[in-house]
This record gives sequence, structure tokens and C-alpha cells, in this order.
Amino acid sequence: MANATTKTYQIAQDLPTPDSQRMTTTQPQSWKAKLAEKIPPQMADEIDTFENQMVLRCQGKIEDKVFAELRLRRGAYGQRYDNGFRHDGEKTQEIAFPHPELTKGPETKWEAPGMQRIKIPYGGLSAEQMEVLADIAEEYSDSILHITTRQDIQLHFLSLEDTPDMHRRLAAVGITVREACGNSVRNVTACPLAGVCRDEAFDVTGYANETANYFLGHRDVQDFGRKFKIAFSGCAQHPCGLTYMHDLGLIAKKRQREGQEEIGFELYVGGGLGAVPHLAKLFDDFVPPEELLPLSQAIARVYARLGEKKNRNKARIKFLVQKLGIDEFRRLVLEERATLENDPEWTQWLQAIPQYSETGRPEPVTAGQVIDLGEDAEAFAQWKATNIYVQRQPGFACVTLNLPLGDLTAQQMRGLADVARRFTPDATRTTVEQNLLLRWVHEPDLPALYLALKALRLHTPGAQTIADVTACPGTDTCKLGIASSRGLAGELRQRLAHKGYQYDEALKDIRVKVSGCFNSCSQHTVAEIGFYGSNRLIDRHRVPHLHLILGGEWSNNAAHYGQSLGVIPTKRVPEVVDFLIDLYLQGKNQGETFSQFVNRIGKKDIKERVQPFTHVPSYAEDPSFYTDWGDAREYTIGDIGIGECAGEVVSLTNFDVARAESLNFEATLLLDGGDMNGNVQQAADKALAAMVKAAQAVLKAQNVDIADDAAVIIRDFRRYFYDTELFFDPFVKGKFASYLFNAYDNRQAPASFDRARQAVEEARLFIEAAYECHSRMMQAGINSPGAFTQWYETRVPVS
Amino acid sequence: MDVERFYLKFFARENAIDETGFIPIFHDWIRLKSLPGTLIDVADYRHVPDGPGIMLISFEINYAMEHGGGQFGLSAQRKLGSDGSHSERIVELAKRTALFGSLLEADSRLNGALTLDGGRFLYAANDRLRLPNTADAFAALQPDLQAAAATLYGDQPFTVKRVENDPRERLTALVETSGPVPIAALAG
Repeated sequence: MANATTKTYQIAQDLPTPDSQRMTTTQPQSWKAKLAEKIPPQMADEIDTFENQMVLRCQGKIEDKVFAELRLRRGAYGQRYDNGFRHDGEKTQEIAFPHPELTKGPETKWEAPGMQRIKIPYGGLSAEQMEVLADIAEEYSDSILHITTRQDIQLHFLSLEDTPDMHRRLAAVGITVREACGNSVRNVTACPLAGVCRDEAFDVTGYANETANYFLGHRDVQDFGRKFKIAFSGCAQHPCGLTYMHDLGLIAKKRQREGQEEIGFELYVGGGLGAVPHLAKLFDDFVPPEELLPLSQAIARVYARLGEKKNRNKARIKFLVQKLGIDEFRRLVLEERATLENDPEWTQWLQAIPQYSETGRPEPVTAGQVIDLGEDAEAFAQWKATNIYVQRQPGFACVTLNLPLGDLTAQQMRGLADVARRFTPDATRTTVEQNLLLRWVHEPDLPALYLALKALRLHTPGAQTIADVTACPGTDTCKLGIASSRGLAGELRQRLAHKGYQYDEALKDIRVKVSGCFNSCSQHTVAEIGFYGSNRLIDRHRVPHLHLILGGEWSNNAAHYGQSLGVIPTKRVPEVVDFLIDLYLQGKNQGETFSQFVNRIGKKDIKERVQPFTHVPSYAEDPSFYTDWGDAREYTIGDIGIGECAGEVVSLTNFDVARAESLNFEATLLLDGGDMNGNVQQAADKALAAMVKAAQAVLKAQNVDIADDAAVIIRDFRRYFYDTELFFDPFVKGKFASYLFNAYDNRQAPASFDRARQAVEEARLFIEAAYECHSRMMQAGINSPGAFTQWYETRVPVS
Repeated sequence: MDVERFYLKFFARENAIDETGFIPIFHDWIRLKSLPGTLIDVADYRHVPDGPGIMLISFEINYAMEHGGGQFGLSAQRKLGSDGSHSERIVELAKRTALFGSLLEADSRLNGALTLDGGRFLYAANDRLRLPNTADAFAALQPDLQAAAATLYGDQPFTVKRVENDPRERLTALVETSGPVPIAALAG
């Protein structure tokens, strides 16, 4: 095995020209040949093309940057350590891949394990698809299938070499990975209860799937500056679809007009989480189905034309909507809509909508049988109390499978396919809470279903409760991860379930969500208790921390975003969660939700109460604080790499500028209530803190361990970025830097409402200038302290 | 037979052990390059029932102290090709797995809590294209397994039996000797 080689690489060396046919015909049998009749021709062509591109990349005929985008558009992501380096707790070591010269993207080794994202439109899965997913997880991955917060499925630790065959096997059962990543329309999500929900206006399933089909590969969605996410909800009040946090959100609606009932959608645009959360704006309160696609297309075209392309941090549609204002954005879209030539595909699909209608099996599978649960009776009752949703169709229920951290094994998935066939009309869906949902189960079948799930060990109670903790991949596999979100989530899940909180009526509706960085992949911003990864330099060692986010609300369609109360050392987070729960249980008023309680008590007060948990013992006292959950290595940030979210380059500076942006966002919120809300001074202070944070962020290129002391930051910023004119804007020169200096010099002066508002605006411009400065530095190769020193010495000769 | 992907599993004599203890050991092995191959990372799947437990991911092989099928043991999933016949590859993977197992058994941090049975292992073909779960495929596989087992166990008698399982599962065989074999004995 010492001579292990890379198949495509070998072929690329042997062949003078790319020849995907030869790649496969050298083998005695191939998936390509075996599945030829089952794969739609267009999908087959796309996969062949990608396979050819792999060969061309190996021959050096496709640039690595270009190839990275090509594979990302096939959902083939990089994974942590794929730059060929890993910190082992003591030092960074090179991972000795056999062909380190071969890359699949900038600084991304071809042979490094990667991740495959698999789009599941509206979360709908058939049993046949589940079986194939199980097979490929077993053969190409680590036998684990991971459900994501956008109803996708992800496989990890894959070889890029395996992707063409894997894509073929998926295509043969109707699954495409096209545009699972990249700057295009991502998986179109929908409420998993669509069609069975007691509160929906109508079933959005078909609308979601047909929208996904329409935009897949559409010419108007190929030139976005960033990704574009669409979600459908059947109602406005439940969070199953999370429409308010999407680039394009559709909520089903009915209205009466001239005595006739009409169906349509409330259409929202410009929502998003990420570092700077934005609630979507109402674009139109009633879009009839025949206008759904043309209007969405017009939105896509305006976004493609006017959206930011150079600065990826400002390229989501939310920034365009914010910049233009919703009224001007709407005007431009309607103007665009008027110019579109009629496309028959806008309405042809409407005929297919009735085909999405589902019904249950005619009779319960266990009709006439008595299922004796025996010693499982109590556990069944608990499971039934938390995992069952009674459908609006009498006699039927949905069953949520509480998957730990969204994971299940290939064997479980295969077994579940049998269960779905036996108990349902083959109606399974993934959910945004990283679970699976079985629909149309006859209520009398629930005991037998429970036993079937128990045999697969998929019978865990507490679905969609406080113990059903959501986590993004974090430092386990994500290149951007700062903290071990999954390690912590696993720990919290175990502790909360052990205490039985999932059955406590007062607590069970609280959601806990953990992200490894600020990018909100776990949707921590809308959890009642959210966390995202950070770190602090203490005792000359890095200590993993998490921002505590409170004030968010999962119910009411996740329409309230939480804010940071500061950072907690990761190892103290379980204590903090216990503390917050106790605080709530002891102090809540009757009927008061957790987020209402937080708002009544006030974040400032809670922050003070949580303060004792922020203490970190010295390294000598307790080195366990200097490691992360589930990891034995001393913590480091040395493994944070280049993000691959649509090829986005994310550095330490990016992270901290984003944090500055969050701070300024919080300052903005403080001014929401006008000048009488008592938050004016706090808002001004926060705006200054945001600028200081942004200055510190750019200084990290000069000194990665720059202190948190504002005076030191101002001094060094002036020396290295102002005096050298490095921070100067090409047009207004040092104006933005002067905002920081002025705000800092006047920090003791009491702030008026107008002054605070101006400070917030100035901070916004300063942060923007920090992004720009950082981009200029990256382009000039000033991307490390060493490079900075070299540059600085040429500017300021050492005397 | 040209099969690159397959999986072997040696069973632990114990049913339960605190798996947390494997994490620092595997990280140390990566740091110290204690095993041959390109070692990459540790994956923690303790939260998944009957799952892969704690894995050590390498470029060539995924090792796992896992609970697949409800049985605790050490598995190795071979991912990549190299020279040699299928039976030679089986022998090589068995030896590598045995080396992994013997190092683990001997690690003082486990206090002797782990014993792996070297005299019995599962083979699963991780390639449904070339080795589907059929009687014909098993007939083609059996000579390779027998040759590999003969190399591994020498004069000790052994059996190679097909495991009767769901046809959608991987083609699986159980190789078993008549007497106990320490895992370290296979590593040489």
C-alpha cells in the first residue's frame, strides 16, 4: 500500500489527451456502463464532463481555481486539513500525500479527503434513494450520513476520485448534486410537514420541487456574486421552513377575491443569517402561482446584474436589498419582469402539482393485531409524547427520528428504507433540525413502528426539544471551524437528555444550536440558546471559547434574532446552559417563554450573572480548558484554512472584521427604539468597539497576537496602517481611519442619539474600509506577519 | 479478482470500554507517525448508536473502534489500490489492522482493558459493482480468502463461511480459526 496511487492522476499521466471513456473502459465493469439506461442523458453528460475535467486538471490543463469552482458546483467540497497540513497539538505537520503537487483547488491537495453535499429538494426521500445513499456512504465514505440544516445530506472523508461514480449512482435514482454548492441556487427547502400540517394554507411541496427544477442550471442563476437560498413554508407561524432567513422566502397564502378562493405566496427577499443576520423584507404580499417563477427569475436577474461581485463578504442579496431599499429593489425587479419574454416553462409545471398529493396506506399494517409493548410501554409513551405530530388527516401521524447531531449509519438508513416502505406510502423527509420525518403513519401502527425503529436504534425520544441539539460540522471537518461545535453539542445532548429536560413542558421548546464559527450554519442566531465559535489568548495559550447568543426565538417562524452576550470558555458552556435553565425555571412568569424571559430580565443583567463562568484557570492549574470537546490536542487556530463556501477566501482578518460587523449590528439594534430607550450611549460605545475590532482585525496581518487593549490597537493601527497609508481609500484617503481616531478621542463625551447614529454609520464605513484594505493586502501578497514585515521594511527603512 | 475496497473487522473480547480513551491515543499516533501510511485525523462518532465509534482516518485506510452490527471491535476499511493480488491485499490489510490492534492493546493508557481476537475476522466487500452480495460472487471470493487465511494462520485449521445477510448488505464472510490467536501474532 506504500505505492498507493491516484487513479485519475495515473491516467492523466499516461494519456496525451483527456479521455473519460478510457478511464472507465480500463476496468472490467463500470457504474457508467451498468447504470447507462437509468441515468437521464443530460445528467450523464454532466457527470462525464466533470470526469473529463478531473483528467484535464491532472494534466494541468485546467487552472486549480477554475477546477475548484467546477467541483464545488458538483457539491464536492474540501475538508479540514486539505491544504496538507495539520496541527498535532504541538506543531504543524505536513500530511504526506503521495502526490502533493496535484491540487483540486488553490492550496487544496487532490488526494485529501473531502465532503460531498447532496441536494435533497424539499427534503423528500424515497426508500430507493435511501438505499443508494446507504450504499455510497458505506463504499466511499465513513458509513455515516449527515443531515444538514438545509435538508441536504453530506458525506465526509471521500476521495475526489470516487465522485463521478458516486454521482452516477445518485443520478440513477433521480438525485443530482449539481449546484449543491457554488454561486447559484442551492437546495430549495420546504416545510417537511407540507401537505399534512394542521396550520398550512396549502401543500407547498410541488411548488418547491418545481422551482428547484426550473432554476437548476438556468442561465440566469449562473452569474451570482454568492449563493442564493430559497425556502417555502406552508404557514407564517411555524419555523419548519425558516422563510424569513432566506434570500428568497415563500409563504403559502389564501385569499378571497370576487367570491373565489385564490392561492398564492407572500414573497420575502433579502433574509439571511451569517455574521450579519438580516430578516427578509416583504416584497409582495400575494404572488399567484403562475407569477412565482417569472418574478423569481426577475429577482435573480436583478441580483446577478447589480449584486456585489468583488467583495464576497457583501455579495449576498441581503446587502443589495439593504443598499437599494426594498422599494427601489422592488421597482427594479418589476421593471425587469416587464422585459422578460414569456417562457412556457413558467406555467407548464402547474399541471404537475396535483401529482405531489400524497395519501396514506389504505389500512394500518398492524390492523387486527395486538402489539404487546411489554417493558417498552413506558419508553413508547415518552417517545410518543415528543416525536409524534398528529396530521390534519384524521388517523395519521408524522414521526420524527431524533438523529444525534444529524448522523445515522448506512445500516440504519437501509433499515429505515424498509420501515418507510412498510409503514408509509414511501414518504420520508429531511428536516432543518437535522432529523428525518416519516409521514402518513397510521396511528394504530405507532407501537409496531416504535419497535421497528428500536431495532434500528432510531427510537430516541426528545425530537425537536431542548435535548435535540443542532450543530454544524465545526472543527471536526470544516475548514472554517474555530471551535468543536459537534463535540460540545454531543456533550450537551447527553447531559440535557440525562436530566429529562426533553419531557419538561417548561423547557422542551427551547432550542440549543451550536456553530463552529460566526457563519450560522447551525442557525444559532434563531435558537433560544445559541453558541458560535471563537477563541482567546490566555496565559500565552489559545483557549476555545463560544459566543453566547440569547434573545433568538425558534417559534414564530424564527422571526427574532439573538445577540451575543460575550464569550464563554468552551469547557464551561454546559455549566452556563444549566445556569440559564435554572435561572429561567426559578424566575419565569406564568406562560413566559425563554426568549420573553431573557428580554424581561435583560441581556445586560444576564451577562453580568454569566460573568463568573468566563474565568479561565491558568494552563498549569487546568490544561483541560486549553483543549476542545472530543479532541485531545492542545487547542490551536492554526488549522483554520481557506473557506470553500463558493470558493470564498476567509482569513483570521475576515473572521474578526465579521465580528466587528456583528458588534455594529448590535449597536444598530440598540437604536431601534428611538432616542428614549436608554441605549444611546451603549450604541455609541458599541460602534466604537466595532471599529476597534475591525482595526484589530487588519492588524492581525501584522501581528497575529495583537492585544485586546484599545489603546494598543489604536497606536499600532496608526503606525502600521495610517502613517503608511495602507488603510487609505483611493479616493477619500484617510477619512475612514479618522472616524476611528475621532471616536476614540471623544469616547468620554456623552453621546446624543444623533451622534450615536452617526457613530454607527461611521463604523459601518470603517468596517467596509477594513474589508477593502484586507482585500488589497491579499492581492499584494501581504497575507502573513512575515510578508507584512517585508512590506513594512520597504516602506519604512530600518535605520 | 481486482478488488481494491474491502473491510476487515476483528472482534473485541470486551463488549464495553470507555472509548474516550482512544482519542488521545489516536492523536498521539498521528503526531508520532506510529503507524505506516498517511495518517490524517481522528473522527468521533460516539454519539451514533451501533456506529463507527472512534475512527483514525488515513489516506489509505479508515480504522475504527466501532460497534457495527452491535459487535464491538477494530475494523479497517481499505480505500485505495496498490500492487498485489486480492489475497495479498487481504493479508496486507489484516497485518496492518493487527499492528494497529496490538499497539492499542499494549497502550498503557487503556490499562489492559482491550483484547482483540486475532483468530476470527469479518471480510466485507466494499464494492457492490465487482463483488455483489451473491452466491456466485462468494464462490469467486472464497479462494482469495482461503489463500489469505492460509498465509495469516499457517498450519492452523480455519474456515471461511459466507455470512447470511440482507442481499442489500455487503458480501460478507467470516474467517475463523479453531483456536485463540493473539492479534499481535498476525502483525508480523
